[in-house]
Amino acid sequence: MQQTINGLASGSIYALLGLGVTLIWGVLHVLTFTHAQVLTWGAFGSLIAINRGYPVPVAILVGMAVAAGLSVLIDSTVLEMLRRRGASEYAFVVATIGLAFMLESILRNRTRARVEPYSRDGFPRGPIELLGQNVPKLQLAVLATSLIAMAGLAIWLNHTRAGRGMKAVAYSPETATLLGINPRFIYAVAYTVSGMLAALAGVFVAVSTASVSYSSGDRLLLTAFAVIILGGMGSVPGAVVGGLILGVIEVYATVHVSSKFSEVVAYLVILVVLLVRPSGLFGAKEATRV
Amino acid sequence: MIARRVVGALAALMLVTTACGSDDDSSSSSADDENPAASEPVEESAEADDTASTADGASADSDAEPSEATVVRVGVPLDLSGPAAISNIGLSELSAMELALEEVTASGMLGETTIEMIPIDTKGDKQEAVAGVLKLIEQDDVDAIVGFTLTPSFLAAGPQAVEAGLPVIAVGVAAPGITEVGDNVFRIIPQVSSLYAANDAMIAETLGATSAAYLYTSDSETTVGIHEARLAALEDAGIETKSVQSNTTADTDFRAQLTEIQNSGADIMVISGFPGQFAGQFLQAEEIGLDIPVLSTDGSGRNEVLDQAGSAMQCVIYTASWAAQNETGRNPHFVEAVQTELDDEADLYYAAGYDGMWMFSTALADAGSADPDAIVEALNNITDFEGAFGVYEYDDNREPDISGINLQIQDNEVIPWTPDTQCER
Amino acid sequence: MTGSQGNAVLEVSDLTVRYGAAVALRGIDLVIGEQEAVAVLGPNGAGKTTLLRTISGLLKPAAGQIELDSHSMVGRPAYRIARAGFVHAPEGRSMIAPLTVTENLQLGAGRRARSDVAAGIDEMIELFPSLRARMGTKAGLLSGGEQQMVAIARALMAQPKVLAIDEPSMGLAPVVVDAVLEALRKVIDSGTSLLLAEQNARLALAVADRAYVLVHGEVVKSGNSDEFGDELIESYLT
Repeated sequence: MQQTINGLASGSIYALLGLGVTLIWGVLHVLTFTHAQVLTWGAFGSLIAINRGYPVPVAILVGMAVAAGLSVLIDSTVLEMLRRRGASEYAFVVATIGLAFMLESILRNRTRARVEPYSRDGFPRGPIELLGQNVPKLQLAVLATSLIAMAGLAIWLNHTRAGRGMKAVAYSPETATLLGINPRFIYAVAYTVSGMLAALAGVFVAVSTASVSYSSGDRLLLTAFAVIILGGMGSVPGAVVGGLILGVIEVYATVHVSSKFSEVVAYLVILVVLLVRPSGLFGAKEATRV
Repeated sequence: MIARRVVGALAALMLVTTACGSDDDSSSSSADDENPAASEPVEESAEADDTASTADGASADSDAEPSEATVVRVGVPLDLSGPAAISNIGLSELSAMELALEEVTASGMLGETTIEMIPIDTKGDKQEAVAGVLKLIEQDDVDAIVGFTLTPSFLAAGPQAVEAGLPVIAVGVAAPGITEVGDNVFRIIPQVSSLYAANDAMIAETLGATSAAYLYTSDSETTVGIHEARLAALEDAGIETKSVQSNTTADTDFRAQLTEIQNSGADIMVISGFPGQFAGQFLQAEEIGLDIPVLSTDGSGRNEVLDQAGSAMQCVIYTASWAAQNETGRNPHFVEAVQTELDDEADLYYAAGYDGMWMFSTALADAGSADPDAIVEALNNITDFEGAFGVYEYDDNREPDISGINLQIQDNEVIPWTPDTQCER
Repeated sequence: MTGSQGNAVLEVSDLTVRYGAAVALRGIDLVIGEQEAVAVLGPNGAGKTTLLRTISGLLKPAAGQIELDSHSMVGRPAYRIARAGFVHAPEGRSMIAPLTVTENLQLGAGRRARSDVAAGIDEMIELFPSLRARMGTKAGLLSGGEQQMVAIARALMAQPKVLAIDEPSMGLAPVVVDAVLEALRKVIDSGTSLLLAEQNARLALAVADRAYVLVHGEVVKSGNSDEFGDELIESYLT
C-alpha cells in the first residue's frame, strides 16, 4: 500500500513528463530531446523565485512560465526554421539533441556545475496517517497536483476550441489551416503546455531531493520516452497510465529485486508490452495512424 | 511503418543518451558526487593492473646520486587542471604542501638541508601522469615523490617512481591497494572501509541497537566496499541484519528503499553513499516518518548537504578520516593555519597535502640524508607522527593507522560524537 | 473577361504557378461575383486543384493577383485567407477522423460565438438532414457521401464569402450526388458564392452559372453554363 503510493507518486511525475513529450509528438511529430532541459530550466526558474521569497505557488508558476517561454522560443526559432525547409524527422531529432546540449552547458556554466539547495519551506512536510499507513504529505501533494493537471489537460483537449484545434493540427495541419486555424499558434500552445507540465515535474523532482543542478533532468528524458512508448506514442491517456505503471513497477522492482535492476525490470515490462501490443497500451492501430 | 521509424529513432536516442550519460559521469562526478566518505575521487581503479605489481625496489640505488646534497628535490605530481572540481582538489593539496614546507623550514628541523618542491600538473589524465613522473625522475632528478590526486593517475604513474626506487608518499588517493604497488609507497588518507568497520560496532552498541538495516550505493566500488565492510563488522558484533537496500548514483527517489527499511523494524539504519544523495535520502526518510538512528558516511556534514537537509539530519552520526573538529595531533594548528595563511576553510585535501609534506620532512630529518632507502626506512619507523589526521604511524603494509573521528549533526552543526554525547530529535 | 454579375467577390488575374521548372497554371483570369456559382472544369491534371490550392494560400503563385473583396490575398498565410472568407473544402473531404461530426463542425466555426455555433450546427443539420443521426459519430467512420456533406457543412460553418469545393462528386453514388447538389443550390440561394472544381462537367454545369475550362494549366474556354453544349463538353472533357 505504502509502496504503491510511492510508486504512484513518482509515476505521476513520469506521467507529467510523458504528457509533455507525447503532446509534442502528437501535434508536431517531433521527438523532443530538449524536454529534460526544459524541466531543469523550469526548476531553476522556480528556485530563483523561491530564493527571492515568493510563496511556493507563485514560484511554481514562475517555473512554469520560464519553461513555457523556453519551449516556445525553441519552437519558434530552430524548429520553425526546420519546418520551413521541410526538414526530415531526423533533422528535428538532431536539432533538439543539439539544443539540449546547448541548454545544459549554459546552465552548467551559469551554476558552475554546483548542486543548488532547493528549499522545502512552504511545501508539505512529514507523514500523514492514512488507512493505518504513514504516507508522506509531499507524495500526496505531488500525486494530487499531477492528477489535477492531467484532468485539466484532458478537459482542455476535449472540450475547448484550442483543444480541438490542437487535435485538428495533430491530425492534419493542412486541413486545419484551411479551416482558419494557425498551426504555428497551435505549435506554440503545445510547447507552452508541454513546458508547463515539465516545469511542474521539475519542481517535484527538486523538492524531493531538496536540490537542483544542471543535470537534474538527465535521467528523466529516457524515462519520458519509455512512458510514451509504453502508453502509445501520442496518446494522452497512454502517457498517464504508462507513467503511473512505470513508477509502480520501478518501486516494486527496487523493493523485491534491487534498485540496480529497477530500470531493467521496468524496461523488460515495456518490451513485453510492445511484443503484445507493438503500438503501446493506448496506441492507435498503425493503419489509422499513417 | 511508423513503428519501425519510432524504434529506429528510439535506438538512436538510447545510444545518444547513454553516451552522454557516461561522458558526464567521468568528467563531473569523479570529484564531487562520487566521493563517499569525503575521501577524494576514487574511480575505475582496475585498469592499471598490468603495471601495478612490478615493484622490485631494492636494487635501484646503485646509480643514485651522492646523498650529501643540501637541496633535496621533491617531485609533486598533482592534478592541477582538468575538470573544475578535481583541479580545486589538486590546488588545495599543493597549497597545503607549500604551507607545510614553510613551517618545516621555519622550524629548523632540517638544519642545512632545504627542500625544493617541483610541482607538475598531471591534468587528471593517465598519460600526462606517466609523462610527468618520468620527467621528474629523469630530467629533474628528484629524490622523492610526494603527490598524486586521483587514483587512476597514481596507478598509471606510481609504478614509474617505484621502479626508480624513490620513496613515494601518495597524498590524495584513497582507494584500497595503493601501497601494494611497491615497498616504497606510503599513503596519507586511510582506507575508509576499515575506518567505518572499526567505529560502527562501538556506535551501534552505544545506541543500544541489536539490529540494523542498510542502504548503500551499489554502482560504485567504493561504496560497495564500505558497505560490505560495515555489514560484516556489525554482524561480527552481533547486530542482526534486518534489511539491505541499495540505490544507484543516478537515483533521486529513495522512498521505496526507505519504506522497506521502516517496515523491517531495524533499530538503526546504516547509509553508505555519496554526499550528492544524502539530502534526498534524509529528507525522504523524514517524509515517510522513518526516525531510527542513522550511521551515515563521511561527507554528511558538508555545508551544501546541511543547507539542503540539515533539520532532517538531526542526530545523524558518521565517521570521518579527517574533520576540523578533531582536536588531536597537529590538527588545531593546521585548521588555524589554513584560515590565516590560505584564507580558506580547512578540508580533507588540505589536510592530506599538509600531512604529506610534514611526513616526508620528518622522515628526511630522521634519516639524515636523501638516500631513498634511508627515507623509506625512516618512514617505516616513524612513531606517533602528529599531523592534521591526528597522531598516527605506518603499519606493516605502510598504511596509516588513523582512527578517524566520530561526528554528529546537531542543530545543523557538526560536533564530535562520543558515547556520552546526548542528542535531542 | 466574361460578364460577372454585380461586384466581384473573388478576382484572379494573370495567375501563374510553377512547380520547379514546370508551369502548372499559366495566366489564369477568373472572376466570381456575389451569389454566383462558378465551375472550373477540366480533365485530370489540368490544374483545377492547383488553382484552388493557390487561391487558398497553400501554394505560392509565381505571378499574378488574387483579390478577395478587393483585398490582395497573395502572400497571406492560408489560415488568414480562410478567415478572410475563402474557405476551401479539399479533395478527399479531409475529415479530422478522430473527432466527431459535431466537433468537426465546431472546428469550422472558427471564432464564432458559442451560441452562434450551436445555431450554425442546427442550420447544417437542416441542410443535410441525413447527418442528424450521425452527429456523435467519429468522422472517420462515416460513409463517403456523409463525409462530403460534413466537409461542405464544416466549410459553411465559417460563413464564407466563397466556398470552394474540390471534386465533390468523386466516388459518390448518384443519389448522394443529387443530395449534395441540392444542398449546394440552397447554399447559393442563401448568398454564398461557390467555386466548384469538377471533372464531371454535366454535374457541375447543373449548378454553376458560369464555367471555365482548364487544359494543361490554361483557360481554353469560359462562358455561361448554357453556352456549353454537349459537343463542347465532349471535345474538351472526355
